[in-house]
Amino acid sequence: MRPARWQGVYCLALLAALVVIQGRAEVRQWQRGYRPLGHAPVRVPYSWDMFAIRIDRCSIRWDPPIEIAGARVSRWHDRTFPIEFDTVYDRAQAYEGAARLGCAFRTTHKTVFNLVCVHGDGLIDESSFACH
Amino acid sequence: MSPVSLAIERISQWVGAEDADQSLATFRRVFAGVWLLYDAIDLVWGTTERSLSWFPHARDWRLAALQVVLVASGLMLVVGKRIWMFGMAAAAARATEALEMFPLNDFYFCSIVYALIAHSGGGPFAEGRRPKWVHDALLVEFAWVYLATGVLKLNRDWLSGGHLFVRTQYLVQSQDWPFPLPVERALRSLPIDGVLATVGAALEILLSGVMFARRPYRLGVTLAVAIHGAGALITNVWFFSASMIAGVALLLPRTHRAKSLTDSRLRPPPRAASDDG
Repeated sequence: MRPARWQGVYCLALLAALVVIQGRAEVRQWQRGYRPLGHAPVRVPYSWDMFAIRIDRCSIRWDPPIEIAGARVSRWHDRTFPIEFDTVYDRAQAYEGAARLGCAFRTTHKTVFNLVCVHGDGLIDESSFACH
Repeated sequence: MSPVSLAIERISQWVGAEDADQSLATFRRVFAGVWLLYDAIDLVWGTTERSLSWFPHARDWRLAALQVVLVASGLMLVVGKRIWMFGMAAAAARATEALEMFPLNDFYFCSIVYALIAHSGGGPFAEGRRPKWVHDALLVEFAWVYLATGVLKLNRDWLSGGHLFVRTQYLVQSQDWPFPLPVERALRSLPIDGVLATVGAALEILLSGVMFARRPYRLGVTLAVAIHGAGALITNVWFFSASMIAGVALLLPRTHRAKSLTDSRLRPPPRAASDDG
């Protein structure tokens, strides 16, 4: 086989691998119930489900601020990068769990944490809990 | 000549054809540069590490090692040295990062693009080339990503505007995102978010068509800037947005006439030829 043909075989094998990886991802979406204008997709690598799955997001505050590595932290965002990078969860319950974990760093027993959660149905709810 | 031999001959010609201009190399440098900045920030500030666990913990050395590989590879892709080796290393590192540590769509996408731009200098067989097939494959890849993501957004959660509502209002609540007041008010309205979400999905599918058809250039770039400019400003997604705009602006041919794979583009064009129309 001529060198040019080896290059052709290599090129086709690479492209075929990319087609298989991405084609299989779409098949998995379908198998997991996705239907256009019907069932929402789930997370499947290489299916390109950006922004397509349902999420909740919450902001967390502690009052008074907790202390982590010598720094006072009153908001979850105090320990994340200003843009792009963020530590997020998909469900409000996960935020509540994270806020409770943050209570381990409280400086007083009277610390409370506050959650403002934004939901996909257009609701924003706010709740406060005492750290135990 | 049998159909099989003809097909092999055509494929060999396509693989051997040179791209018309330097846009592929420019895209490689810009794409690698955008993600080099991302990875440098990530390595220095441990941002993905923090995304995995917000609370104090020992740094994961495997993730740090991947980030070192990504920074080194990104640097070499920008400079244009040992492109295949470092491109494939970046693809493997990014895929590992996504599959084993942090399943971010941006990372999956990067792994595919790195695997393709690893061949932008000729791949393992040659150096100093500008293979047309890599340019073609990248155009199809971008077109596919826009089509798949646009179609997957055709679901109630996205079209209702709920997703945009969550993302924008979260930025307001958590980061005091500096939306102008009228914009913030508008984004607080689920029906308005629904319209924006529907338009967004439609524009992505339209841009997919432009990328498949390879024209018109201005419409493609306008759509990319509109989609990803909004994506950056209202959803805080900057690096992926920048690399997608760069991809559309640099890979989409600037000719007025789209050329198919079976026409004159299979023949190596003159080296000095420009694709600017």
